[in-house]
Amino acid sequence: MKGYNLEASITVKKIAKIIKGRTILADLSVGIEKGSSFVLIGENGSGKSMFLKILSGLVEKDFGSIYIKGMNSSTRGSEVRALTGFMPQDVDLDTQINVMQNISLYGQLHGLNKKQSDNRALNLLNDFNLEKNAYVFHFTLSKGKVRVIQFIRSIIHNPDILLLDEPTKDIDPHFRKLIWKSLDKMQLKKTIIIATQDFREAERYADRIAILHNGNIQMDGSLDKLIESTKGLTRYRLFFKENISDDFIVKLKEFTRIIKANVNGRELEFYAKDRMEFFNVLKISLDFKLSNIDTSFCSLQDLFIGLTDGGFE
Amino acid sequence: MIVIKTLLNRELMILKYQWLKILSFLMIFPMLIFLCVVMPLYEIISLPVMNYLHWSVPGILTICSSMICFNYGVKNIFLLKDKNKHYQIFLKSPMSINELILSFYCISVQYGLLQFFVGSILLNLINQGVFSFYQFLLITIQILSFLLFVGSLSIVVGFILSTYDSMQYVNIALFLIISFIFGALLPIELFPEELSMYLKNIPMVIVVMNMQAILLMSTPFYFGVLICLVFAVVLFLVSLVFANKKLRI
Repeated sequence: MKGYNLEASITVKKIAKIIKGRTILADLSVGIEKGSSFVLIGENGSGKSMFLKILSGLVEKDFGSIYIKGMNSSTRGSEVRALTGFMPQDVDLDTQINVMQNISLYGQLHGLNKKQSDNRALNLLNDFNLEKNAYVFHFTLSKGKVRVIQFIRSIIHNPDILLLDEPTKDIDPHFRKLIWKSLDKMQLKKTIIIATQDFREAERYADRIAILHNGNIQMDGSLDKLIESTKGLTRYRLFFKENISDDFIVKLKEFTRIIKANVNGRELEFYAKDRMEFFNVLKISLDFKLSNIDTSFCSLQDLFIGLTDGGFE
Repeated sequence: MIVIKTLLNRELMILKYQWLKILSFLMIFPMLIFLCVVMPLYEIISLPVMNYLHWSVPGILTICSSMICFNYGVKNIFLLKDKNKHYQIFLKSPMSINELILSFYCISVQYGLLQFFVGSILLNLINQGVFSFYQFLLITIQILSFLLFVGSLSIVVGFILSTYDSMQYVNIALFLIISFIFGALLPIELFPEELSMYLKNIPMVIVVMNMQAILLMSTPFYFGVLICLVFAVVLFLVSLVFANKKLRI
């Protein structure tokens, strides 16, 4: 276990958000430890971005309460917003001023003076090898660079809490590496909350992972704990030389303990907790020109797909 | 106050890039009104006290500066309401909604004043010394009160309107009201007596009439300015109520 402080940095109690009659978040509660990195994964429209917007103070929740470093976000909004740095999913840089001014302005809005803000902006642009782009307009740059500039902007004022909505989306591997390097440096010093759909990054980076589905957190814990919760659930894939026949599918239906069987042309994918069940399927498969097999323990992605697609039961 | 200064600095940054575009517009706008509205009216309106072309100068300045102030105010609120625009960074910052609205209010009034100064120089050149420096200062006080009112109005309207199309209709309506009902380009005395008596009680009309009175070396009615300022404050408070109900929700 990493050495982050168990003191809660963010406490969310039963928050809900309804927009135009649609429930985006419902009865969501979570506590996030100081200095930890918390990764939120969920399908499109699951409420990840809304959750981050609410934490950043950009949007007000309809119900519930949020305490950030012990401060109620509703009554002490200004102080809470000063503590957070938010990188949204969409490009929201000012089109009328250049990159450097964009970053510096954000710093100034968060209490830095102009000189401090300019210096920090230049240093950060240097760290990300973007100093040559400091005095150009962002719309002349690639989408990846724009995302990096948004990341730099979110950390200009050295916030205690960093809220990143899909931070590495559209970013090439070089800049992606720089962003993770920067986040690695910040680990344990800052509370970092990331919403992402990149499972590999979530597995690599998170102290805690939460799966958001239907506006609420369905699973929450460290990666090991989440995988452990599947109780040895294994994913099996069988590959055949020819398309899978209807006869095989009929026989497959007799195995009631296999989970989420999915036939796709020459490939059969299913999950099972009991290895014997796999052996039984394998036995009948041998009569149908089996060409290859692949087994793997349930990954975060499997867990997510299983959960958002009706669960593994 | 620091955040207000930051936002005003941002406007200066924008001016640095777009000064030519903005200055051209600020020069063309009063000239267009002078050529397309005032010159034709000059053919049909004759005033006993003064040349109509001179008399209309404060009116042109009032129309131009209020329209600029109004448009900047409404545009800023529109951008602030749009959840996909860069103005969201202001909502993410620690500044309160009241500070934010006050900043945009100052910015819109500032652009209105800029238009007033540019227009004054141009119209004074065309009309060869239509007002002295002292008269210019007195007119500035009057226009400032008018702009403070229009600035507040623009924020309220910005929250009420939902599309840019509807903003165009309101722009046209505002132009017509200031030009032809508030007496900026048509003397109130030309209206039917009952209507002119009624109009003369409206603070904004009093301010416009004050500017014309300053040009005629008469004493302006400062109580009208005061009432106009009270209206501006009340509208500004209303705009804060709208802002707190509609932003960060």
